[in-house]
Amino acid sequence: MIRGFGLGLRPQHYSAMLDSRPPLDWLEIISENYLVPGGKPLYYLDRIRELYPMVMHGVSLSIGSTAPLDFEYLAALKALSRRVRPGWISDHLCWTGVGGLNLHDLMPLPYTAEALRHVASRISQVQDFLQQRIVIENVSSYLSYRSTEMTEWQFIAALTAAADCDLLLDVNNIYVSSINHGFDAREFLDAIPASRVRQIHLAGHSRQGELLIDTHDAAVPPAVWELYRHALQRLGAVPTMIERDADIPELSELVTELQLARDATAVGAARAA
Amino acid sequence: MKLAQLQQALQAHVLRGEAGIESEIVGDARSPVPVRLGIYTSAYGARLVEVLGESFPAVRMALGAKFFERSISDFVRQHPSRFRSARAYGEELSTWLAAHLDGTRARGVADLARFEWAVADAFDAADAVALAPSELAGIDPAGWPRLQFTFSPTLRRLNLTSNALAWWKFAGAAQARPSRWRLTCTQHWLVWRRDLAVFYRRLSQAETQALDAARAGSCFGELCEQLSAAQAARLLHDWVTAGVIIAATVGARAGTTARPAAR
Repeated sequence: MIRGFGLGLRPQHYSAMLDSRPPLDWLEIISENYLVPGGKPLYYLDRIRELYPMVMHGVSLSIGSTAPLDFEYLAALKALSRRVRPGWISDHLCWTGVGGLNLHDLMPLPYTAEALRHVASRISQVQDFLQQRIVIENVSSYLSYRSTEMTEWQFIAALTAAADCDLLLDVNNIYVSSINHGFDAREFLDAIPASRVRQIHLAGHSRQGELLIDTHDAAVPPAVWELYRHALQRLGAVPTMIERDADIPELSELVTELQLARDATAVGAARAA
Repeated sequence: MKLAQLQQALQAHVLRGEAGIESEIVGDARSPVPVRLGIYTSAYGARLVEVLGESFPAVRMALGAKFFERSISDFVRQHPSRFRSARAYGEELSTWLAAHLDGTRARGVADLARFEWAVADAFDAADAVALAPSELAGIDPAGWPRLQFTFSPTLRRLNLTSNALAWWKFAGAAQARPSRWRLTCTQHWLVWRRDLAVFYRRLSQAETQALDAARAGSCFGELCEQLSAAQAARLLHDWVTAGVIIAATVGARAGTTARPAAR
């Protein structure tokens, strides 16, 4: 059972994780980092897994792509999950390429009935293959499509019902997209089906002109903490972690930052009581 | 536009700057459509250049960061990624560098890229336990001529024709910057991993031939014919000590004049 507060496991922290065994409830791994035949990544994965429960988070599922599902990838993911025994497996609500090419980016979908049917059907296929419910994360986006027929939150709510999947709520992504597209981030949060939310991501972002970019290269900023506190009011305590993928600080700094999430959850629980 | 067309059009724009997607995107005065599309276009190139910089740190240092970025951006434009993992992107870089740089440097940088790729490949290749010398010692001497070897899945063999290794050592701060790129006669190199550490060493012509033959299935008796029994035994000792052999089995093949190993 995954509960409490975690961090994303990054290679820079392998030794510190084993040496200092920080007070974390669980860790999230990037699945693709361990879809390798052997060597250091799997060596450290096995050792750190002995110390912490884990969840698996992927970037290659391309669940929204119109290219065929990659069953070779899914088989590798399934094999990794037998090794890791994760609390759950997550990936993003996006597409990463078509025609055998990979943009190595989380490309946004148009929120249309066509896309909804398409993605729901593919999630069902993936869940059948993996024999478990998967967890889908909302992405940051920098563009939207004229063909869009509903809001992102309406799309997500309909998708979780149609595909019977769960949600990884990235609060930073909601904030980033709300600025980039001019919507109310609280309206997004208030419309999310609370019972589907299995995990929360927190992260930092950067500014490029008038747009915010999901760079994961800085501490979680005040606006995202504020939105997190709003999410807690609605959702109660949800397993929460901080993502950091660039300018990665010492492990102890991230552990300290995570305390802010613990504090916010404790305050939320006290208020609810 | 249907979902499939939309994705193809956006991908074509990101990869090749093709027009056709603009009318499908919502823009505003603050962030017009070209700005929004530009986020994805520039992120794609920057991401792959960054990945290649991480995969080829010595090439980056040898070429200089600015020149590396400029030339590698051309490579990225010409080679859309077909790989699920960005880490796998770059296998074709050495061939491209050989064709697109000038003179001696082209061959040297291509050698350096191939060497870095081999090291990275060995880093997360499949695990295997090295054959212990005691296991070899336990084999009946009568079976030695027919002894065949299984090599570590981490082993990589490559031939270099430049002073690329001097640049590699320079990038690792183990040696001063070479004064220039130089061509050399063919050097044979072995890269492998034992436990978690990656090793490399230069091979002699004789060891190269013996190793290549042994990897292709030649038995110890045939190696003794190719070299001498003493030489073959010495090489076998070196390979076992280095951890590049993971199994030895007595097979059906034998050399015609093989003798049991002296050590």
